[in-house]
Amino acid sequence: MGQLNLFTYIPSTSIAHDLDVRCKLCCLSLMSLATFRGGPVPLALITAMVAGLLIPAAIRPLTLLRELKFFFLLVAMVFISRSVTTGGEPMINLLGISATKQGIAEGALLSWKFVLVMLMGIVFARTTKPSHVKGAVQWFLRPVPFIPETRAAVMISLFLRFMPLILNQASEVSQAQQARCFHLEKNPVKRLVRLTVPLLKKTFQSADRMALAMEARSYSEKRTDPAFIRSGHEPLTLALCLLVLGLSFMV
Amino acid sequence: MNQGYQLRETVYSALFAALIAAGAFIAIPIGPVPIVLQNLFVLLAGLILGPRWGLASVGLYLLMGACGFPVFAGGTGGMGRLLGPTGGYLLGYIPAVLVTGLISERLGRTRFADAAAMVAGSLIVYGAGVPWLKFATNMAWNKAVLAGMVPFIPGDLLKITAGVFAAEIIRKVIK
Amino acid sequence: MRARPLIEADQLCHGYDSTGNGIRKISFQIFKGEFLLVAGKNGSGKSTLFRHLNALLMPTAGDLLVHGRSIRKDPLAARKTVGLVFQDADTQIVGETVADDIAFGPENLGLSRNEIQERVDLALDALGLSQLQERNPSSLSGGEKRRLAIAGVVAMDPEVIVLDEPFSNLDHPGTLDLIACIEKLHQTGRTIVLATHDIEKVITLATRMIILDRGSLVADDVPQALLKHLEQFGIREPCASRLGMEVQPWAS
Repeated sequence: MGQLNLFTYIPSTSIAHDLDVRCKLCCLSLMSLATFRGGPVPLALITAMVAGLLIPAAIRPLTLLRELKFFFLLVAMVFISRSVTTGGEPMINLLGISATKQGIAEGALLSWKFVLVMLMGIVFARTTKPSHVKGAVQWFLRPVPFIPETRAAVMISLFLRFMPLILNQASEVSQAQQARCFHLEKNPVKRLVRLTVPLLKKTFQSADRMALAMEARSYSEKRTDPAFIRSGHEPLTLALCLLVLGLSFMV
Repeated sequence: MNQGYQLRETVYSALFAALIAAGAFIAIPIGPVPIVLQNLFVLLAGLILGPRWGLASVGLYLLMGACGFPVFAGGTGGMGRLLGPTGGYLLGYIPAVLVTGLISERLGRTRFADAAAMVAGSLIVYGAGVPWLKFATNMAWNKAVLAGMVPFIPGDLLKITAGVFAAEIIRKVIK
Repeated sequence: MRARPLIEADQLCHGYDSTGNGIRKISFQIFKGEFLLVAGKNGSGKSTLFRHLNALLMPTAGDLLVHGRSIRKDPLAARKTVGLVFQDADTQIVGETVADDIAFGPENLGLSRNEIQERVDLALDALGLSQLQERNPSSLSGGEKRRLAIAGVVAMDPEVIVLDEPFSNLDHPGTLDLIACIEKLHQTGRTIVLATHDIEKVITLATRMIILDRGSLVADDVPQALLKHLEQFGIREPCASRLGMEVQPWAS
């Protein structure tokens, strides 16, 4: 995650960028739900909408394939498994296993749903500042009992800081050990312990220093509320998403 | 100071969430299937932070994933992954960390208790993941178990063994 | 007669034991507008002393007064008056972007959004980070991270800024930028307390120097007067001084 990838926020001023992040999160959930509920017609509609948001982002299809290769592998597995296990009239016969017409249709639909929801996630991540996500989470958690929302928001900040720190330290630990020929060690438990323990020790020390530094900066859970920026398109966007959701239940 | 204590737990909990996320990208090449550290960190969160703060770690991790940060295996994120065919394993982390934390808290912090807690936690992850995989792909039960559980058992046994030692050492460091 | 000291340590002790950890019976005063250099080798007690200035540690004996009030009675007031910048920049940066991190302290104080924005802009400007405000902190250079850590403290508008080993692990350009920023902060009216074992870089800026050795305060005078006593406490004497010349500023 330290490096740039498909899910990294890219500053710009598209419609999706300027939308209030709380509205954007609502729309994301509504559309995900609609995608999983919907038949071919609403799916085609959603696909058109997602494409409309993705095309300005100018993501090359090859980049998409490369970065999501594991995901596409999983989707392919779902497709194949669906097409050979669903009953119906056989279409293709290979090595005694036959894929049915119904199975292929069903597998294709389900795979398409997975891909769509993944693409929506990419749109959201590319158009939303991490600190805005944090603000939205804090806002949505406010009415939830037993979860202190400001603490959750601070934990999100810390999480985003620790991720690159941990990956750096993990590669440092493993390189230092390789320099001493540790890769020749045959005992797998030893290899696991020798990687995880120094990594955990180092990161826990970092965490202790982080806690101290936060205290030095007068850390308090009664903090200034996050600020949200509205573009004015929120009601319309939300209505559109609700419409699509309604459609997915009817068609 | 009470506030200082709570701040430390907050930071640790965020740290473990980040470790779980980073664990998806740290692999040790042992045998045919590389060992990924992610579920080891989930279990260690239960052992080291206890059920409550361990749950906070896993919850934060899944929340970050659901919000679209690329924290799931293969550098992906979003609801698509969480509700996808392997989503059961990820959601299974929630009861797994709770039970792991509870068992180790109740049985006391011995090696045996830690091992038992981690075995129970691992079983819960599969208990959620394998049926989810079966229904998502429409596989037969035996095939789902063969594809979604059996190849990972040797790695899990190694991880649990290593986890027992790691938990023992790290508890001393942070006390 | 001088004005009342900003900070006053009176027989300050903290957990001193035979292994040499902690500090022992330290007394000194810091006045507004000073640039105090705290010299001493590793383990001499600099960091322990600094954590008292910010009320992160409480004295086990003696007392430390900020604005005449004991840090035991009013730790928050001490924390607002004294901003502490730690040695390791990576573990004190909390925010997702440079600007977000600078806002963290003011947010803790519960200031209004407008006021936070003003302070963030001022701090960005003071530390020369305005161009980088939307960057992810993990993509910054070592020197930029160090300046960000200072900006995060400056935004809380403390009267005193305490810097613990600010030059460690910095390359030459990074060091020069940092010295310029610290000098500017001092000139704009902040009191600076700076610890280092490499005093050459800032000795010409300092108005006073204290030397710590094994937890005790062993010297307190203007820097020029202490140059010849440095080496006996394990601190390197600036080259020029060794050669009998006048010490020149590190950055000109």
